[in-house]
Amino acid sequence: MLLASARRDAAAFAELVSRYYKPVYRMVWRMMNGNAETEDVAQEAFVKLWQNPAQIREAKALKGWLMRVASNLAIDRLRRKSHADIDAIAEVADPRQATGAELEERAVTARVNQAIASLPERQKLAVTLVYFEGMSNISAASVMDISVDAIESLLTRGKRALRESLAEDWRGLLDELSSKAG
Amino acid sequence: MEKYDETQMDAALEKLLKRATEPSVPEGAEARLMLVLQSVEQQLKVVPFQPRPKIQGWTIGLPLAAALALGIYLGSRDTFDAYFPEAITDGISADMSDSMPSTGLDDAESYAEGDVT
Repeated sequence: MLLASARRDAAAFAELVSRYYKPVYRMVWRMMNGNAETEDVAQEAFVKLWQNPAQIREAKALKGWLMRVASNLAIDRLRRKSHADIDAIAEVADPRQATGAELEERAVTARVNQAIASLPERQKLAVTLVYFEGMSNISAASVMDISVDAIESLLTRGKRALRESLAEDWRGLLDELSSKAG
Repeated sequence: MEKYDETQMDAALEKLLKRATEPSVPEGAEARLMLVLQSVEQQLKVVPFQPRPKIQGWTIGLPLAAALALGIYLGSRDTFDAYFPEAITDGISADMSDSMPSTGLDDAESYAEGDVT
């Protein structure tokens, strides 16, 4: 598929897009806190691949390469515009009248989104790659071009920051989990 | 918090992170990307055209006409004869002073009379 894409085979590239667009989009969305420019940034990463596919020597490195390019583009865009605004995350309007439990669920979601958005960008990228995209520490370290020790350190600090900002929700969950276990 | 171990705390945090908004790809995003790639491809193939600056005809004709007029004027005044090689200017002046141009008839008569020198 990569070789076909290198020959500017649009059909092969479309197959590649259908395989990798979603994870790239999700990661960029998370990094840009749901900003409206998410699609532009994800597109730009694929355009870079289309323009110069020879940058990838092995097919198995493709996803990591796309994630790295897209995350760098997202960080650049955020630094340039400095509008990391969690309010930009689109809330889907529910036409039904929300019940108390649903409202509470939405509030928790908003707090979790806010906590993730508030993380420093490298911690946020590490948390996004490992927890949301399910990548191994080794793969995530490769995407971020850092050592495995460094990503573990970023994850530890990121989790600590999340625990602090989500203390109430987190404690409730811990009690819930321990009572279930008991 | 000390009553919970690291594994429990991680499990609780992961469970909490699952409540984060799950981004969904906008409808038609992949199709839009393919369209963008097509336009990029066209840009790569097209050599940018640089239009030649438009030159008005008179901007060339005017200096040429002026040079011609100046040349005729100076030529008629013999102003620059001193600067030309003598081989040119003498020949021209000799031709101009010769009232009877050579027709070759005198030479023909000489040949007819046997004078071949």
